[in-house]
Amino acid sequence: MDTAVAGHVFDLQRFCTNDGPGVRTTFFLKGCPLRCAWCSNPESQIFRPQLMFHEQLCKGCGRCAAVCPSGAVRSDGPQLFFQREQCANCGACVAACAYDARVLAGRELTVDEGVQFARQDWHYYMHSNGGITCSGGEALAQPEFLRALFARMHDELGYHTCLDTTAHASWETLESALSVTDLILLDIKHMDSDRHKSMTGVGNTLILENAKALGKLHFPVLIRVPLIPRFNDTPDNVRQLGEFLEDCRFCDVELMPYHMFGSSKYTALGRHYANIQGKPDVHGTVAALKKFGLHVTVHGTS
Amino acid sequence: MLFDPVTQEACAESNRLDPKIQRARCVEAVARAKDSLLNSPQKVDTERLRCLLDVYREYDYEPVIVLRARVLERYINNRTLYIDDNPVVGTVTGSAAGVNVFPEWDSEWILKEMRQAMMSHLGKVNISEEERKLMVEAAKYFKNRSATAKARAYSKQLRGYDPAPAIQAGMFQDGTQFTVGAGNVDYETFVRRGLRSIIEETEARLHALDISAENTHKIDFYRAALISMNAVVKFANRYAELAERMAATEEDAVRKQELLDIAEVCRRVPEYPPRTFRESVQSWWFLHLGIQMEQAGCGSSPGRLGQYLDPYFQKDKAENGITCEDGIAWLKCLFVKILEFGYYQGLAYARLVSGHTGHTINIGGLKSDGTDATCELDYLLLDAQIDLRNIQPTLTLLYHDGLAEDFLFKAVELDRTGLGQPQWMNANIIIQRLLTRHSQVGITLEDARNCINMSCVGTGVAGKTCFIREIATFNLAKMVELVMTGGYDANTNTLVGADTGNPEQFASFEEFFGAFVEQTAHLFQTARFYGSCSNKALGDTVPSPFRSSMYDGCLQSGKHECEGGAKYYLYYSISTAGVDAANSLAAVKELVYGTGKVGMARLKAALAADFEGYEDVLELCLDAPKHGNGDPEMDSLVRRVYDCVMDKYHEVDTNFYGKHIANIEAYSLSIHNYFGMLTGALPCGRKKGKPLTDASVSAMPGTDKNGPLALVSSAARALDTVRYGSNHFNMKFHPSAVAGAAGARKLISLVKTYMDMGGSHIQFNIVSSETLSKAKATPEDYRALTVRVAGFSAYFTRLHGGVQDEIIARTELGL
Repeated sequence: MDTAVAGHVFDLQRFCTNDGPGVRTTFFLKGCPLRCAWCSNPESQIFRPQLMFHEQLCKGCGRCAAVCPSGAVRSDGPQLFFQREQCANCGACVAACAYDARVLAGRELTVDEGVQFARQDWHYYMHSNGGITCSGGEALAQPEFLRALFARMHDELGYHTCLDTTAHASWETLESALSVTDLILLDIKHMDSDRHKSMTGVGNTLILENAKALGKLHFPVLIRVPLIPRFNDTPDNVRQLGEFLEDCRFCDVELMPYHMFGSSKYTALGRHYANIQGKPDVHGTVAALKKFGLHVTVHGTS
Repeated sequence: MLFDPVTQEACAESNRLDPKIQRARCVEAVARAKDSLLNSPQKVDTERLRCLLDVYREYDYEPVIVLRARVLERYINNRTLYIDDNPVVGTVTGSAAGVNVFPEWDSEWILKEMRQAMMSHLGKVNISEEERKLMVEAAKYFKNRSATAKARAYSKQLRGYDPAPAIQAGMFQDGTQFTVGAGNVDYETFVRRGLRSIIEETEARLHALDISAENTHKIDFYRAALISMNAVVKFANRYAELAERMAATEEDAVRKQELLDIAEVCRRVPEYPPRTFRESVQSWWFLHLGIQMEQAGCGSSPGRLGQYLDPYFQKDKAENGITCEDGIAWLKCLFVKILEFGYYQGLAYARLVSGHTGHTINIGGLKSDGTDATCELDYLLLDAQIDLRNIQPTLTLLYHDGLAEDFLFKAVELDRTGLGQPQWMNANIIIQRLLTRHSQVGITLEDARNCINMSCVGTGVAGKTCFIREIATFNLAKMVELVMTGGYDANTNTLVGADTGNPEQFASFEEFFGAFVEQTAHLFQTARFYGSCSNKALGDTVPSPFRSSMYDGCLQSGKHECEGGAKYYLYYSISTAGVDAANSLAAVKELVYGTGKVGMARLKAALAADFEGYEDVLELCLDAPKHGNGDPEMDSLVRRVYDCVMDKYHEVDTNFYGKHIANIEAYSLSIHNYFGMLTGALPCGRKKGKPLTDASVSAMPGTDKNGPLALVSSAARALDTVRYGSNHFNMKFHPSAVAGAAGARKLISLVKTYMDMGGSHIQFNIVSSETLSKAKATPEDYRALTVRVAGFSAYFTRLHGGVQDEIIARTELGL
């Protein structure tokens, strides 16, 4: 087992209470083949590190300008100008900033470091039936790292491991992680491949095929649906989803109603946020799915 | 005239109100009482002051302990009584939401502040012109007779030490200016036996004593105890008479019977043992009122109320068929009674304590044989509080691994209301602490297991622990400030601390740290000496005969509370701002002696200017390592600060209560706000006059950046929770973090882990910052919003603006 294997991560979060059972430590892997319009972690999409600039925290002290090697921050009297196109995402300004206005999303993490980080909270996993979750981004986009990390957690330490995935990967890639995974949280965004592509950049064929294959294996799966208004909360899509899950013999569905918590991250990345208006039809979707005998929960009801 | 219990038993056969009707009336009365308390300001009641002045003039020949008993007796015999629709009767003063003041402790604030606005935890305190005059008269009478005046005189006479400059500089707060709660008296025995049997036993003790020089104090204490115990019996009988008089003219048949029932109960208790659960509640309340009339003060804990009243509840259930709903109804009647208490002792007191009254009821815990002590009434106490959401009394859950799961789930249900209760305390740590603290007076394991939280977070043995201040509280952030100024108070330019010289001369961080330790040692040498003067003055001025007789040990030994008669003493000084001191030391270590980014001269200048014109220094200071991030190096610095403070405290060779060793408590109430106003800019980046960090192991607001578990692990390691009398940790959660059964389990797993790591106290603030901001902007819409601040619940809209801001600023813990 190669513990020197490293992966790209953008966050490690302790005391996660919503990514699998119990209290968990979640590893957010960076890089994703999808580009979901509603994505609340836009810094998770590309593999390389990215500078996030939270303008509202900036006090204009100019220390970032003093250390920037590529001239991306210039000070002109009391005014500061940040030119993102010149930024090399090197992170020199992050250390200089005293206000956390500048953050570098993304770093290398070795399996050893990951294990050491996770072990801090062994008490909590034990007392709450919790464990480790790999989320993203798309964890299956870094399969060697995922397998090596989970092998240590699952086989050596006996932790419960949970893979939070879009399932947009080859079956071979997904299958290779199964022996060290206890539970899969599988996102299904839309039943129609064209509609799926219009909002995520990819079709759904691979995802649905993988879901069916997991169903055949009776692998423990919790289906998660980010519920986006007027996109996938329509009666037609919900009915097709219900039928599909019934066919696959999945029992549990968790709905994650659309929220805008990630909007400030887009600004920080210098990106435009696709502001999706309105609220999804949670009640209608729950009622419709229940007709298929599914156990439906709603995540973070607001 | 003494009544005959036999006759009274006959009366008991009369047609009492149907229990169902009575329960409905209790529920209505509670709703009305709570509503009216939220809408009516507290009122200073001066009836006691009249009695006080008359008795001091009339009985000036008596020793002080007897004089104090006569004050209580006179007040009970003469004060106004009233009965409203709460079937549990008795109030601490003659007016609704009335507050007594106590010029015998300190009268200076009355003379100084008589024209200023007065605030208590139930809002503004009202006072009429006539009452002002009487207060001023009393204040003048006690100008040289008060405990504070005497303590100052003793200190000057004994060692030529005047504490005033140090107190004004915000180094410490003395222990005589405010009354103090009782700790936890032996309610169990007094309710169970009734006062009559104890009066008779005391009379026998008095009659058996030789009149000798050795016994002279004992004789006076027994005389005083008898006067005060008889007065409390009289108190209940006066209520019985009032109820009978009201019944005689009452036309509504149900109300008439209710009044007759009240009269019957008041004839019975607290003089005789309770026959029903209701009588046990009323008995407890009268005994507690006796204590509160004698000396109202923060930290008079009902102790394990549920556990010692449970036998009456079980008997009543078995014999008379009362239900859990009845039990909850009576507990709620009692809770609104407790909510009515308020203390007002001047602005400094309001800022230190924010009107907290410290009525801490303990649930869970262990029995003296080491098995789980939880009883049915403990569950009902939780139920009552889930419904009522009272800020007082507060509930403390004594956590151990043997608690039942449904009990823990019910406790989480209460946490979810956002009330900040229960406080979770680690029973096993408390046991270790008590075994250590009281080792010189031979504590038993059985007593240690019978532990409680008896104030905000101070712990002791149930029924046997007297609560006494040494230095009320001291300010560790100030010690860093004094190192920067070489011991001089920045405002008056006088030397108030140790002369540690100019810090620019220090060659290393160790020298700087050494100066901090020297300032702390100097503080304890002066303030602890003054604390002993304070305790002599309190014993000479305001010993409390009634509550003294209720501690296990006092009547047996013939010594009152100020003579060491109680079996155990929680003799304490409260440490504040330890985290600010450690964060400041860390900043100096890194910036001056580590990276060298800020020279000592520049840091001094920046602090003196409150960072005006030194914004770059402020940024660096804020960016320096801070407590609460799970950083092992920082964690060990915090621990080193707390360890050194404890060592220096115990090096001082003074201990007023002998083998009852004084100890440091580490919590804050709202003291961090009060001292914050008196503390200059700090190297941790906190500006002048702003509140200091609350609690004792919480993070400075906004500086815990690694999430809740990093904060928890830092908090658990910050101080030795066995050596220290307490620790105090507030965590704020968004409600979504603990939703549902799975959420409950996660919260419990967090509690258990923290306790396993050696934490001794944790409490949860489950609200959203948005709600709090709205409440600050439009307080009129959020009158009943409760929030947890540093060891207590309070109505948010009535907190000091600085405390409000701090609560809003506290890091939302990423949930």
